[in-house]
Amino acid sequence: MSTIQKLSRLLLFREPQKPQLLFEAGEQEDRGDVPTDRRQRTREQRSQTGRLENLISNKVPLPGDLKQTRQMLERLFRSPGNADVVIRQFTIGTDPPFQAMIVFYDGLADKATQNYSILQPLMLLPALRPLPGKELVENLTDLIAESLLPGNEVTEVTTYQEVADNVMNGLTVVLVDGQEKALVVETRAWEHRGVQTPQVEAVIRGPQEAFTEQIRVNVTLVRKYLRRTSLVNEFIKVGEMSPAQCSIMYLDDIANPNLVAEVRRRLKSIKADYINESGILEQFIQDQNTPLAPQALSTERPDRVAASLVEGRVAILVDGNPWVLIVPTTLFSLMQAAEDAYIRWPAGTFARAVRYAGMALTMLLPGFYVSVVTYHPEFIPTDLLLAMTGARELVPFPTIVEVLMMELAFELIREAGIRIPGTVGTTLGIVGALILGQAAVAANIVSPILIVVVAVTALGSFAIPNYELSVSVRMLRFGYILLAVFLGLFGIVAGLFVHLALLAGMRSFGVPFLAPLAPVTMAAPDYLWRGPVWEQERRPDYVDPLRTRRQPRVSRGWTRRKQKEDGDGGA
Amino acid sequence: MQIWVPVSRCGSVVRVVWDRSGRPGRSSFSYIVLAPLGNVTGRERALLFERREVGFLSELPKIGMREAIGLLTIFLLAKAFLPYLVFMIHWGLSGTWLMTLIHVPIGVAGVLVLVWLLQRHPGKSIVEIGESLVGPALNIVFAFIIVTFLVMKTGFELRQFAEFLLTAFLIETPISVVVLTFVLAMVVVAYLGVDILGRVAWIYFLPFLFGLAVLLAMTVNLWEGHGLYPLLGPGLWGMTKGVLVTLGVGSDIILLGVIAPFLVSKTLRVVGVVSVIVAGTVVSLIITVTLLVFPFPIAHEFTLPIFEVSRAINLGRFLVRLETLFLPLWMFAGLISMTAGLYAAAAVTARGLKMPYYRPFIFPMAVLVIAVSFIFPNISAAMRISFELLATWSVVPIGLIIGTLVGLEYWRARTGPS
Repeated sequence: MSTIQKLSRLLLFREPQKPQLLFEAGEQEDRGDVPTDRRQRTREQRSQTGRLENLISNKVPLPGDLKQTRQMLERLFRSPGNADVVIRQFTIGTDPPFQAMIVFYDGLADKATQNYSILQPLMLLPALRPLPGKELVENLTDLIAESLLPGNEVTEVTTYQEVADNVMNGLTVVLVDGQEKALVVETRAWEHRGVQTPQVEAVIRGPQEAFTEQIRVNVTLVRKYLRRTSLVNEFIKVGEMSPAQCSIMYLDDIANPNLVAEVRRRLKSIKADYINESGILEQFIQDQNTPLAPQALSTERPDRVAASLVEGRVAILVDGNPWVLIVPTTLFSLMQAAEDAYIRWPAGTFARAVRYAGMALTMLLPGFYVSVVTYHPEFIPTDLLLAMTGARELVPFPTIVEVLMMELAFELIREAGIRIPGTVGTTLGIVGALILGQAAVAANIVSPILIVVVAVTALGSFAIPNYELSVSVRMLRFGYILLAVFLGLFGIVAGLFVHLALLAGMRSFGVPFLAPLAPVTMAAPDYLWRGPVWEQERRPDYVDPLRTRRQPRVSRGWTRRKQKEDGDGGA
Repeated sequence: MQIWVPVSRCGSVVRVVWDRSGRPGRSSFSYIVLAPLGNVTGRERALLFERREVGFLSELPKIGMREAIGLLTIFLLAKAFLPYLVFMIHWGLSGTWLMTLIHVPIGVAGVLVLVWLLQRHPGKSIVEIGESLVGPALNIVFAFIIVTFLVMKTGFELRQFAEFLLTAFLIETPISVVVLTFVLAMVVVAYLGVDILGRVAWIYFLPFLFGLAVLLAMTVNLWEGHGLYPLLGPGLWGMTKGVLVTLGVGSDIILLGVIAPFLVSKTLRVVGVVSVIVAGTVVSLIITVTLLVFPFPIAHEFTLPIFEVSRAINLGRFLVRLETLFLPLWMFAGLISMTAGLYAAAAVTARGLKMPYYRPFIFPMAVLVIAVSFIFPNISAAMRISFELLATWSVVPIGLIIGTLVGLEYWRARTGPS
């Protein structure tokens, strides 16, 4: 203990801190008052952890000696302290018999499959089928895999790391004495949610199934839509403490290989403890750290992923969550809903226009209201101005205060609405309606017209199809309110100018965020408005797909035939 | 051979070593991908262009044809929202709209000459062309003149837009607050780059034309045909004099010479010609409608003719006093135009001083622009001096620079490379 520390102890009275828990010991070592045995145990624990980590990271091969392997695996899985891991030893009924064991996690593996596809064939069947004697020891693993294990997916592994990975993924590992290889049998059967209807991206017309928490199921759902041999699914582990199983899906004959390589590179380069959600992964791989807009499209709809893959984009799936990322994305992709394509194009275009109007209203309406009431009252027609002034007469607050108050109240209700348990959810609606609708006006806290402004703003925010974009827009509207209160409409215009420039400078995996509008690139009529489906002839140029044309110039062959027939008839 | 190529984001400079075969050194290749074409000086750019087969040029930022048209057109016509028009009307009287139309073919001819020069030096800006034609010493003078012009233009516009706002909308706001807000927005966007500014200009361009058309159309019930008579205004000689005195409105085309390295060489002609035609036609339309709504004796008394036109809209009981609705139209155009001016001033300074990077010059240029904008004691002085300097006299130095360079290039082309 240094002199200064001693002096400070003398001057300042402190409760003596004694180690309460073992994990505090590391912190207390410096003070020198930790019992020697505890320090020793901590050191041993650290050293053992280091050795076990080396076992994994150095990809140490299996030794072949079953006893040694068992000891090592017990240490690796912290058995017997860890109650979940099961190491079951048994004898293979060959002549001569061999010792073997299976390793699996209880709850992750299916017991019936293990009993009927692993234990029964290995313990009982070899006695019925004599095995070749001389080569038995050398090729026992191959022989078991070929002749005795009836499972549909049996693979060989040779290192502790592979054994551990497979056990943690719910597979069963079979180890045989004297063999330096182990067999992995597919037995995954953990509890999971089934395919259900989309919760966030609901549509009236179109497929009604959404992704689940199972990456395998999700991949299958996409593959169900895209029955194409060139649909590639690459598995990549991301994270270090508990590597997340991620998947990159793309159409090998359409997606630009540079884009796929970039996605792969970014995922592989991530050094993080724990990534269990695609939202976390998105933050690791996005081009810019900006609050303006998300740079990857997250969707829970397999049909939307399939449509994006056909355009030449890449999908990133993360095991354990039902949101799939699509890259690259643009502002226009974020403003599209799956349904736009499923209904006829005028309706799709109309729906999209409503959505853009909703976004503009959410972002600018409160600010516009503040600026007009505060700086530009001449803009309001006289009759309306009189009505508004009359309604505001009894309100004691300046406009900015009442606007901020109501907007914050709305945000509060929205946030509470997400967190509130379902059983009391209706209460929130009543409270919200009372506070926003009646009580605030009756108490002369806000003017009635402001209620309309806040309500329209809220509706506009819900019309934005992408949740993250909606949150960004809602945040930005406070910035516009502040600009409006200081500089009126000019403040909003100046803010919009900078906002637009920042958006124009954003990139998603190298693709400008406002493409194909700015910079202008070739694209089918499917960004600001939704053109007829037969005019969707080109894939978006900004993705730089290997095949640019989606369909021929005349995609409705029947029209051509009819013309020909008409022509023939005329002749 | 060694080439210095700046890296776009971090502002540092990476040395790229070219081997004898003319290919970039292996270790340096990844760095050159990051280098924006606009920040590479002339000789370097020419070499980069020669090495298209390396395949990295597509990674470099550039301005598309439409973005460039949007940017240049708004740069040329933003002045129509300023008191400029009043002085034009003073010269052209009822024939001012025709005077502006006469500017168009003159402007097209000027653009074609400039484009000829720029296309003779692909990948170079007007400053770098000047260096190769007149040498570094005289070129510094040329660059200084161009920068002075751009700073003055931006500063004068800044003051007039700020006064416009104070007069029409923000009556009690201090002018310094308005000016600083303008400059802050300009600095941020100029920092992002001219390619980003081009994108913003293009996004705004069509809504701007549409909004302007709506504004002009909404005054249709106020049009009085006699406002355009006599058609030749002050007569043939008066009209000729008016055209000559206001030729400086076309000096802004120098922006094409600054942004040329970002454009595909083949598109320069289209960009220049279309911009001049669209800008000239739109300004002429604005003047025509102004004269139709307010005959010239009244129109040339206004400080802000276009603002008065928008105030005059009176359709039914509801569509009145719509000038606030059109405020974004004018201010957005002003912001784009002034940001382009600020960027161009910084870029020309950087290239004139042979510095590879323009961003360090944005802030000093912004300070100069603010200083220039506050030179005038009042709006009247700002209107008068800016018209005299920019609309009347700016054509002399800018025309002389372009003329000298074109003449030298023509002479060099005739006598050969020696």
